[in-house]
Amino acid sequence: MTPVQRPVSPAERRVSMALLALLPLIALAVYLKGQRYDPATFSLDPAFLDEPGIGAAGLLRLDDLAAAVADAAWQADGGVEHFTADTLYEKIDGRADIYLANGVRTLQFVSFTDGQSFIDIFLYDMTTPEQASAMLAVERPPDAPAGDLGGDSYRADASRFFREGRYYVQVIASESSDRLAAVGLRLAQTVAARVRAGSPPVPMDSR
Amino acid sequence: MTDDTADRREFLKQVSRTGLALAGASLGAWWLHNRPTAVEATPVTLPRYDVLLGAGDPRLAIAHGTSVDTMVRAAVEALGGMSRFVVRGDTVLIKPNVAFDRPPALASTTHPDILRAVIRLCREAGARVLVADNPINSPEGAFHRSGIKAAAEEEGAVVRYPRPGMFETVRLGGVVLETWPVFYEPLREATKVIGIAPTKDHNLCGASLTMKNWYGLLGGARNLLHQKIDDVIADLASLVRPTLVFLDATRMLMTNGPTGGRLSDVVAGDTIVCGVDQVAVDAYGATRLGRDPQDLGYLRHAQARGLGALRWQSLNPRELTV
Amino acid sequence: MNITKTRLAFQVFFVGLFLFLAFVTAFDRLKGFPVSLFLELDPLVGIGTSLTTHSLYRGLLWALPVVLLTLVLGRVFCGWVCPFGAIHHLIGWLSVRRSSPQQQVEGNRYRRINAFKYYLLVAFGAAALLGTLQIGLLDPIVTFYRSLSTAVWPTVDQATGSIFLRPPAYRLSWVFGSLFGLLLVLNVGWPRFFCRVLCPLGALMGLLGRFAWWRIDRDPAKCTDCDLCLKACEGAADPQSHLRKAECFVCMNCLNDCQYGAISFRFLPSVTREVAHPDLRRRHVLLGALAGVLFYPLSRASGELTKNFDKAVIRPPGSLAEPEFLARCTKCEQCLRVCPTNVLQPTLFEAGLEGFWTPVMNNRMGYCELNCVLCGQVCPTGAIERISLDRKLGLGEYRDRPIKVGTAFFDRGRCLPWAMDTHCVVCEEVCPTSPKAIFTRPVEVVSRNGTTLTLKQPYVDLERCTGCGICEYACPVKDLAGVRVTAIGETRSADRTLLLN
Repeated sequence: MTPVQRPVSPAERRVSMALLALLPLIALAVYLKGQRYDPATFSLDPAFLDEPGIGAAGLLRLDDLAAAVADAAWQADGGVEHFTADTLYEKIDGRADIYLANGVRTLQFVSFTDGQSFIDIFLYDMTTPEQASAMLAVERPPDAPAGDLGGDSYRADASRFFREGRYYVQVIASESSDRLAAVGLRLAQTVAARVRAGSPPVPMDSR
Repeated sequence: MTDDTADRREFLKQVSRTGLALAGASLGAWWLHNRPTAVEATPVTLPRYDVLLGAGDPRLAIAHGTSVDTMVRAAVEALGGMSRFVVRGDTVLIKPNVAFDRPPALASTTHPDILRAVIRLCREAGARVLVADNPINSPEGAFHRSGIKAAAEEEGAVVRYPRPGMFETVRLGGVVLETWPVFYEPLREATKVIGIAPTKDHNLCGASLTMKNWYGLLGGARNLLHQKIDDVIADLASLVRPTLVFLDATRMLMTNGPTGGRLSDVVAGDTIVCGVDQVAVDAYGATRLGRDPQDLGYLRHAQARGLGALRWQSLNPRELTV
Repeated sequence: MNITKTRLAFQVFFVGLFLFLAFVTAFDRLKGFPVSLFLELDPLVGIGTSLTTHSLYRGLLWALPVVLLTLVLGRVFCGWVCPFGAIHHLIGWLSVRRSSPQQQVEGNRYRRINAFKYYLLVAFGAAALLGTLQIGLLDPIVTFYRSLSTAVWPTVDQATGSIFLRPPAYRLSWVFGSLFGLLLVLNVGWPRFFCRVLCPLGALMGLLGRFAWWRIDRDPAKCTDCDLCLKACEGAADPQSHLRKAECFVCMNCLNDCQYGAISFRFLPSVTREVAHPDLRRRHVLLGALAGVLFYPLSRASGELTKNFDKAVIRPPGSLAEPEFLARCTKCEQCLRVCPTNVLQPTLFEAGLEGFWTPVMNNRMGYCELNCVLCGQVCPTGAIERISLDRKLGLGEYRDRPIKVGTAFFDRGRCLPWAMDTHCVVCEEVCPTSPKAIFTRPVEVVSRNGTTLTLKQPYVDLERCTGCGICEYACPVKDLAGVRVTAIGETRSADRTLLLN
């Protein structure tokens, strides 16, 4: 540009100043807008990835269950065992057929023992709540009393059977005693609570 | 007529200038002519990163529990402690699986928790840590959404992203792969290499564990390798002789691998395996996926080539619950 | 503070802001930055889409303050804000610096051809009235964005390696780059050629600026007819005689150049010293309108939107059905820029004449990343809707209704396990859905040398396939893949679905 010869009037100076003051304001507005965004656009909450409820992982947590039992005599016998529809028969033999007919996806199994008796937990992912209900009905003896777990459940001696969401759960005691019934109840309630909570697997090292 | 002195000086100047041009052109042409016309890249050979162990030293540790950091520390301790493998001044390259743009809970990538634990151990041993992988999906998205970038940077490690130009032809000396382009840039600086693999089902090769993890260092047309996948994965074990490998079986991708996609594909395994023998670690990992190690072609090939022990029990693993 | 220096500060600021926003339009830099800001401020985009869709999408409301400002102050947008104009201004200024003042004066005289941009505007407007949006072919903001995304950034990256991790490649990059270069070079010898002769946004501003309350005014009493006010007149607006309001960019250069203080910027000066209307020939206006009006039926008559839709027109996820898409897409190529896998490419005529330069997927160059919805985030006009991840993946309230952009089909004559007795299934490995949309069936085959192979042969699960294209992208038969995605089955079109559901 040619060097300015023209004198600048006070009015022009004021207008120029006012206009120039707009520029940093615009820059600031753009910067602030840049910091406000929905992080979901750039990440994915795994809770959205499945039906209402949670994935199979994390449903049988050894620490949760041990804490629920709160009795040092009871220990998990081995770890949590996992089976898919293809390998189900390895655990439950011929009974696998009826589960497969009802759309089972996975089985998780863990056994608690105090050295003499044991309580087995079978957690079946039946794909839909309807199919889980069907399994519950299929295995239910006609005279079984209603369970003390609310909803879809029943008791057979010290063992408990219930449906929570799309999961069919069996908490089976090796003998029928009050002691085992009490421990079994605590285990069943813990599993039911976790399934109902609908939260994804708890990260190992909680922040 | 100008005087003779000026003419001679002028004559010399002309002669020397033209003479230089003549010499330069001739020498230049001769030099170019003698250069090889087809320039073949000389393949690089990777050094071995494994540490010499005594006959009685532990080689495989299996930790059960629920706290990743505790399990990792316990497993490494059972092998003699991280200082047995990583010393002050080392540059450790940690190779996690960041193949896919997935959140960690889906178990198709290495979980950030185990990466943090291993980085901490390396840094406590006095090493500098690099984290690198060549993802299948877009690198920015994969490193971000898997949580690996944040975890690595928060623990003081440096993330190396793959860019064209960071790949070199490396000699594998394998049965199928003689040489192959490899993401060489982070390896250039590394004195130790640690692999951290998730436990995943895989339709083609049966399982994606610690040996398959090195696939993420490959560049080039690696989608051709599926034609002989079992031999190639065994070749990977001769590409990288790592210092240590970790198998993260806290979360296992049981179905729909290696990409996963639903939480119900994932199952808790509550286990972390640490070892110097990739074949043995993978054999154990296969059993956790419900498979017989003998059924996995790549493990049989690796065993046959003497790359490790398929019968993992023969290594007298240290198994502990924490 | 001199007003022309202030104007220069504004131009520098807005070019810098524009380049910054274009630069951060990428996954790892985007955050919440308003990267479509200039497209939203652009009244041609706002008014154009209003004509084609009878609505004003989201941020396009920003055009209103610009319109109001123009109605009151004239074409300040052209002189102070438009970043494309600022670049032309720069090059024009550089090229005439060594010319004599008299040569510069001659270069800025008004020419009859400057009216051409109005005829272009009329043609675009007529076409828009009928429902097809073609303003993006010449809109300055759109052109600048497009040129940066497809040509400038890749060129800069080739030289410096500072922009991309994985440098993208864009079809027609040389076309966009050459056009960009050509338009810039035309400023040498003809300052602000694009702005004065071609710019349809400028024409729109000219029409709106007729009613401005403030304008440049020449005092005949002080004026000596030296014509020096023309020396740096950006708009070629004849300040030395009757100011052409529709051409004046309010750049204030004439204020500086007048040695006699005859030029001022005044409120409602006399209308006898101005020319308010653009200088248009009725015949040419009618021709422009006719061209615009005929464009629509002629392009639709070719059938690319109906019976002859091209299988390669695989639109980004979240795109509206094709007629609505074409009514909104400005061909700004923001979606190309932000796409992390480089799958989006501009068309030539695959989507018909109307779809020229609109985005489609080319699965040889990339694929649609499952967890990504960035294209819809940056689309300024809603041709690609701003979908959530739930909507795209079919989760939550959209359970089991994911967005499909096409369907994969195996070419059994090229797929290695089908045709060549060779193991593969990379496609199945990388298929991102769960359960996978590609499954395998084992088949025993006796190979040519007598060995028995158990091959896994892949199949597409039609219900699950979303057309993302990673199978085609990963297929080792790279020149013509053994599995290829085509547009059929896309959920955005009622007449191109495949499965009965």
